[in-house]
Amino acid sequence: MKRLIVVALLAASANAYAWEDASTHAGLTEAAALGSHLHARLKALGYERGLYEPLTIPPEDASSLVAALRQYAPTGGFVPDGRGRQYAIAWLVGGAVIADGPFIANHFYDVWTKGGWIEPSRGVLHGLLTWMANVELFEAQDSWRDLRDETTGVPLPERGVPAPDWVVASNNPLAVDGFLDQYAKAIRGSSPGERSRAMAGALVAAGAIAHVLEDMGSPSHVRGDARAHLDKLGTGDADLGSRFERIAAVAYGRVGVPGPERVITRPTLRAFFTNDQHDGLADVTAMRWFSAYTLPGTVRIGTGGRTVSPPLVKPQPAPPTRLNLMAASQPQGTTLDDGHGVCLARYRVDRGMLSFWLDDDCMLAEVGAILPEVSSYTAGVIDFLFRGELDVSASGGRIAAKAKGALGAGTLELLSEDARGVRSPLGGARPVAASADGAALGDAQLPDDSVRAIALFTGVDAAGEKIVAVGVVTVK
Amino acid sequence: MIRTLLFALFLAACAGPEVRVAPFRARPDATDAGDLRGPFTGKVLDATTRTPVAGALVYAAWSFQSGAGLQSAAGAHEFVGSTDATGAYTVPILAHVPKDTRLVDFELLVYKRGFVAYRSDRRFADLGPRMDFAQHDNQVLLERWRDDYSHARHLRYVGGGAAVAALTGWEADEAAAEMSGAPKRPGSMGTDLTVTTGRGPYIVAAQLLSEADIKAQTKYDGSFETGPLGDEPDTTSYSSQHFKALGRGETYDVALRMWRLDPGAAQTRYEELLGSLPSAQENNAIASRSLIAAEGDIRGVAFFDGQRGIVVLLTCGKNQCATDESAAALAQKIYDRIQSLWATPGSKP
Repeated sequence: MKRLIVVALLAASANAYAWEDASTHAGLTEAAALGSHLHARLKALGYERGLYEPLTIPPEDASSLVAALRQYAPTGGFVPDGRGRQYAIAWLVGGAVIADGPFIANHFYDVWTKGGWIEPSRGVLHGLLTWMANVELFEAQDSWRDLRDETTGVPLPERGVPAPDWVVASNNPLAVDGFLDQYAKAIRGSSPGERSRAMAGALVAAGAIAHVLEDMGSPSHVRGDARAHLDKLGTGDADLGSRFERIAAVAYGRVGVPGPERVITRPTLRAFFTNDQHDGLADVTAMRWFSAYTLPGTVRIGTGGRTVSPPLVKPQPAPPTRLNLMAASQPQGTTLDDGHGVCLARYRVDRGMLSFWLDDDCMLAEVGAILPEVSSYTAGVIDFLFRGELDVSASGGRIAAKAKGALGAGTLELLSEDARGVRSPLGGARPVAASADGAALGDAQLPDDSVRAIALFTGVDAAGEKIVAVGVVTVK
Repeated sequence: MIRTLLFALFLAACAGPEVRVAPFRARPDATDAGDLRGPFTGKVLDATTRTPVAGALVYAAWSFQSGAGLQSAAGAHEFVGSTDATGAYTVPILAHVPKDTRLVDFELLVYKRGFVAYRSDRRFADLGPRMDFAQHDNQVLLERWRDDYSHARHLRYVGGGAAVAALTGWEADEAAAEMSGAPKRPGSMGTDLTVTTGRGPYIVAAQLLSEADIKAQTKYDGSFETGPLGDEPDTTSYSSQHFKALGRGETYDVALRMWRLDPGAAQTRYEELLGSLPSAQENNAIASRSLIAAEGDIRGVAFFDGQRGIVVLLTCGKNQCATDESAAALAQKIYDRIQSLWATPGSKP
């Protein structure tokens, strides 16, 4: 039944160059946030309603951000009201929704080549015009580029920054540096309004980082399969996209995306994407699943035995050498599964030729297995970004801060908050050397009117990753 | 084979460049696809008793996209309404699709405190795709809320929008408590399932004043975001409408609160307002009794209609209503509309 529903809805849904923003990305991030420790973390920071704390970014302070969010229907739950107010979780989801924009080509990572998006070959004419557009020998290169786009279809970026590099890139406005900057401002900001605005900004950046990681759960994004994003989906020439990702959108929408089955932990941000143990999301996805145009190639079945070795576009996953060629000889072919009953591909033998393909049912099964995994990684990266904690105590009129977990070098700021919610620094930022778990970082005298004492560390953690660590305590 | 036929059917229906094919049927008993533009009609019933649910929020949103190939979201259009006394709703047709965009989606949300919300695209029980939504004569069966349901899950299901957020604000507190591991509070959803007074047509605040009414009176050239106020949820005896000036401060806002009670209780409510509103002065210029009040940059006008048991409080920022007369004129417009919606012997039509 679900299969028919998906097929019936396919033609009615939007384009997909990645997980669809307002449905799959929004759903993944929302489900992950609910499954992460972010609610508790926000409460520990003084936001009593946690994920449901209303936070405001006045539209005049971030007009482009608010304008971008208002391009979406408010029914999605991530469009702020007229005054720029919505819940903390909605800002996080909003960040995940708007992350594509002009940066969509930076959300790919081929785990074997370590490269990012490369525009797929689209015929001889397209190739020729691309070459002419890029060679200085020919004048008016932009004109060649325009001519190429007009004659050969939809304009696409030629190259993209690999996704794990993009989340730390200096030219990415929603990279980890932007997140940390806003997060620190959300702690040291003087007024509650400033802090609310900065926390919303930090959540937007965190959502955008989560989005890039979520894209690593789509096989074509991590197997160098740009061509999978140019499948014709509707009647219009411009109606191109990934059928796999559209199936995810129509099958699960926003609210149906499954939540995390666990919360993944990794020592560094990059390790959530890829690492030497091959358990980053990109690694896991690339090695476990095929994408539309990286299936095993067609091969002639020999007469001598039942072992076959179809050519592989990517080393993994490799089909077993002994396939069920009897079943594959039926007109409908048979299924190659992953050992747990989830379809990896279909295969069929026709006139002695063994071929593989992905149909909608198979992709739907893959999506069902992939999304909870992606959600688990997303929950993990959310917790990772907000991981920094400090032990803060306030007694005898003094605040004292200790490391909670080992820290690298950085700076420590101590603040007090009065009954109006105004925070004031207690002296300047002081340098702190690498510290072991529980090591004292600094202390200061608290003003008499303090109702809260706050410690803020900005620097690196024991693994050398940038971190903002915070501790907040109520003054008795 | 079925799949191929369905796919071909939908592809064929995709011919129009500006409006995608609707993923829902035109009518419950029809096989042809509906029209994303609308109009939409239907009836909202209590799933348990099959009785009409009046005063439920009906929130609709159309989504647009633009671009070729790398398409992007290109805005949305909202409609906020409510069900009438028979539970019926009508969402008017989308007047136009913005230039250089295509209409790609329509979503309808029905929300009433005490019930599980309804979305046109998804079911709450399993979050699976809803396939029984129809453009015309749609039947919405609202399931009564159960204390074992999750508010966090419900808020996720409901989504957002100013009108929805105003009504679901209280649920965020419940969701926050739930996420923090606090024990569930039985009955926290409240049961706004009480019967109406049974007198006259069902009227809600959203019917009584429009953005155009305000602009005609105050000459304001900006836009408003409209929806219920967040202070109290709408019930059968209370409803509200907030006109929040976009990009402006509260002194440009207009808000309307309406109580519909037995006449005696309505008079008591009015007298409470008279006693509690700052600088309240009775002038009896509208309906049975009326007053004007002011606090800071906000003007207030309240009136009591004894015949119908209605009390209305209009508040208007001083940058929107420059004078007391301007605020009173809006209140008079509201009273005129009440009279037109609920004619009584001796009242003007």
